[in-house]
Amino acid sequence: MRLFAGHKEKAGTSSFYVELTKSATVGDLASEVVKRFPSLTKEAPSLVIAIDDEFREHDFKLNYCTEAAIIPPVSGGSSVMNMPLQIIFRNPGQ
Amino acid sequence: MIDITYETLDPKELLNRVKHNSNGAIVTFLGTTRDTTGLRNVLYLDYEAYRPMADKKLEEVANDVRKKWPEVQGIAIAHRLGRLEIGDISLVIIVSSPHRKDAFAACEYSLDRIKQIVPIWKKEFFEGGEVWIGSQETDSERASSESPTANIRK
Repeated sequence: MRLFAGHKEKAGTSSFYVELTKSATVGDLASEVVKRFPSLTKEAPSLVIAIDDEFREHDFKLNYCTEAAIIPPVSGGSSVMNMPLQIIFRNPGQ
Repeated sequence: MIDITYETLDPKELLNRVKHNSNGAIVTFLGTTRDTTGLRNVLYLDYEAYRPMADKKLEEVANDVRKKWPEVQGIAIAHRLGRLEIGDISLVIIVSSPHRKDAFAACEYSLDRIKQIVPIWKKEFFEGGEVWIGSQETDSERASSESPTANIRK
């Protein structure tokens, strides 16, 4: 999982590995991030996540994905992206 | 044409790539590095991107523009990464079309859309500290970070 910008600094790392079950969703990923880095956010549902370079909702299944990133907000002011954090995870053998 | 680079952006070179004899209007936007944010004196900025998603999303913005304004002929979007000094150009958007109305609208739309969906972030280094631009704090933290002295690292 890769972290960017403010999230990277708050977490103190830019990437980390996560193990999830085959039926895991983006939401499960978000929960894992919140568990691992509680200083990033307390609201897992607020994390904006990109799977293989596409923004995905939290019910999206992860079984065929190779990379996930949590996307921090791009600009100040009104933004459709709320509290994204970049998590890129490698999913070998899929 | 789309470009993400650490090199200095050259609007004239990009202009030459999108202009066409059938253009009646070419609208250029330059995003430049400002010396103040609110009460903070900015020293410099540093831009970071998540690639290749940022490249793909810039392409997506250009494609969106072409769908919304089919009359638009040329689009150039170039974003610079790394350290930018005050006055440097961080972003160039050039739109060319037969008529000005589409060119103006498409250029503004491009800028707004880039700020929504393209994973490129800027960190501001100001007198007294540094901060990532964006609403990265929770609401309660944001409330206390409104002042220019927030996020200061000693």
